[in-house]
Amino acid sequence: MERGRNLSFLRSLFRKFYEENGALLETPSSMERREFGFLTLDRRIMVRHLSFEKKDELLEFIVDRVPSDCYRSAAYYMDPGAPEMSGKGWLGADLVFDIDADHIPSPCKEEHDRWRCLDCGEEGKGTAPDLCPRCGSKRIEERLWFCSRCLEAAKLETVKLLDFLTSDFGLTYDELKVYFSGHRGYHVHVESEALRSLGQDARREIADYITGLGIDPSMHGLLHLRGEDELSKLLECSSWAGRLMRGGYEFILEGSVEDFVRIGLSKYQASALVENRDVVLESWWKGGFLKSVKGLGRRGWAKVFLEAARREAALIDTVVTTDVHRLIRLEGSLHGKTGFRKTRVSGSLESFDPLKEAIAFNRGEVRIYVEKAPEFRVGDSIYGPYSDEDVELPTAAAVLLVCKGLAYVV
Amino acid sequence: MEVSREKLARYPFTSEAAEYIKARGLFLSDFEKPEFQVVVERAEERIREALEKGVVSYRGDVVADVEILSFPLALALVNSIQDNFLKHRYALAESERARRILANEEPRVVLEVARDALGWKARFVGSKLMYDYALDLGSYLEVASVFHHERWKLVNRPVKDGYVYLTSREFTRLIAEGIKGIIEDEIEASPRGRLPPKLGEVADRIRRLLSEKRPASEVTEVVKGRVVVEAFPPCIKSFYQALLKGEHLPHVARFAITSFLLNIGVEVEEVVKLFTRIPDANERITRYQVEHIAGLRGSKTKYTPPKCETLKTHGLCVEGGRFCGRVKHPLTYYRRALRRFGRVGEREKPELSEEPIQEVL
Ligand code: SF4
Ligand SMILES: [Zn+2]
Ligand SMILES: [Zn+2]
Repeated sequence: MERGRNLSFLRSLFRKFYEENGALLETPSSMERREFGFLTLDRRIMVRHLSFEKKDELLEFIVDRVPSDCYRSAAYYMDPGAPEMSGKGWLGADLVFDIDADHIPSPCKEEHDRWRCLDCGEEGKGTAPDLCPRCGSKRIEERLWFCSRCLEAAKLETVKLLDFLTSDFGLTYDELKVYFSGHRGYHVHVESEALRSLGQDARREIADYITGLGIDPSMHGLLHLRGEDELSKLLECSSWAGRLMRGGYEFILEGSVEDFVRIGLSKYQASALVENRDVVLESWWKGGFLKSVKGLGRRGWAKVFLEAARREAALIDTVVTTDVHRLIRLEGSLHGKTGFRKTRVSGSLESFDPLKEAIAFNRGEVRIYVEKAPEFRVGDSIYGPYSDEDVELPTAAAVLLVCKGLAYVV
Repeated sequence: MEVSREKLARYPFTSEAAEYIKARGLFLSDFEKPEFQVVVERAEERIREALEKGVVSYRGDVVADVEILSFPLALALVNSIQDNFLKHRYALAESERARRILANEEPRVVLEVARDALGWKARFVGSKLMYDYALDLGSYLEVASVFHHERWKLVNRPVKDGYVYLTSREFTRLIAEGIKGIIEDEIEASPRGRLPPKLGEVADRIRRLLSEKRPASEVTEVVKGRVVVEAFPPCIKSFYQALLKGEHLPHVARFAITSFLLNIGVEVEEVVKLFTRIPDANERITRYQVEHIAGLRGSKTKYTPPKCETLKTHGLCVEGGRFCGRVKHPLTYYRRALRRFGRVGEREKPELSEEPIQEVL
């Protein structure tokens, strides 16, 4: 019954939002070539293989059905509404990147994410296990939360990603659009004619490039450097060589003996590296580091550079980038798990505040009964923690808790 | 600018050459005329060379027109025979011809071929860096993602401002790969009617040669009789499929499928047969390598296939393993999948679907 109240509350709120803010909904380029899909609000069923010629039709559909989430294909099709993938006639796809807190290790997840076994009721904190440790069931429900810290971590990865896209791939900012997903991360859409027709293998190469998967420092010339000249030539044509050098420099600057042992150096090598830190850093950009520590040979340096690669890589969800039939969240639409909007980052990413700029509902207050909620921020205010209590909250904060299934409308 | 006939003779697959040939307005029946006898002979020679040596020669000594016109005629002959092995092998041998010629060309000409034949954006960067050419990212990915060696992985290439840097050798290798694709398309697009009598005789001779040169092909059946191909993990399926098509595999992939097949009980002999479908495979060396992996030579250790992790590092895992549950080893996948297909005893043959492997993938 409470669930029913929540549903009708969300339905009327979401409908009103789309009725009044149709202008905030962005339509993808060549929208008539895109497939659309929607999650129903009540049972969260995916309805896909739809197509729309014009924005009006799309809006009308959304206002009529009030889905919890709206998606559109990254791909362009001859016949996007065809019921089977094979009948659609794939023409190409934008390159999309998804950076989600799910893929980024951040300590706050252990604090705010929870899971519960639907079979035996076992509960725990942090990332959900694959199998319930008590009964072995796979039916595990995740309760993912998000906070400023994991959003900040996601932002940092996005900044790294943008560097790959611009300085390595030569894309211009006109070809890139950055969005806050409305939940735990960011999306970057690339519309570039030169990359549109790339198939799965080629996209996998791009994903591997950005995550540094399979990188071999020796192939970037760093393990056979002969001096400053060669280094500067290398940096002129290889962006990854630059990252390995920068990341390696920082790692050596900050690293402790334990850190160096953790990446696989012997105790002896690690201490030698720490003792000679100044000499190493001094010779670093002169390309003379290879001979700067006795006992540390090419294999050892390769380990240092692998750690550098790990730090410099951007943690994108590679499955999203590789999948040429992927549906992605419609720009400007509401996220069913938060009530926030997928929001374009138009100015500087560094100063973008997702918990403020993505707010969709900024009028009125709502009384809700909160079962359990951690402390959280929406806009400039901090709320909670709450536990089994009645509270009156600004609509955006109340919607967030209701969408998360932590509260009921009273 | 008038393009020299010598250039067309060297690169008969370019659009300029195609225009030149088209302007001659020739039909297949024209080649029956005595003045074209020498062209017909050269076309037959091209195909013979492809089958026998894996590379078509460049005949700078004959009249340029013979070298130019024998190319489309050879395509038409190959297409009329309708044999995938021959098509593949011929395209490969023509692209190898082009690669060898390009290796001695000036950068200007190399860039022209890359631009005109393949539509690539590339530039010569000189040896002021350690690389000679820079190729636009999109073209690089399109052509190089079929190579799986780690050297070609984008993450191991110098990349900057949308360009991938390459040595001369690497660049011409990529051009040749691109050309191979073009020639395959051109074969498909070439006329395939009934051949006039003289050309028909040529085609018959080629068919005879083909049946001598074609590697054993019952291998699909042999492998299928003992093992359940449907139960192969995606990575191994993709290698297997490539071998059936006679395609090249990177070293790690060859090692992986060889050791995989040997481990699930396929005989050395059958594995060798599978590998000799590759056009320029050397049977002795292949056998030696397979026997080595089987533990019949050298160190006498029988190798197991690489773990998923290793395959992932080499970019050989299919879609990050998302079809594989949480297996860590391709052999584990196979054993689990076998259970899904029902237990396979020594005598009972598994029920096999007739689905081609592509669809299972
Ligand atoms: S997960 Fe393992 S078995 Fe599956 S495709 Fe990848 S490497 Fe092969
Ligand atoms: Zn349980
Ligand atoms: Zn957090």
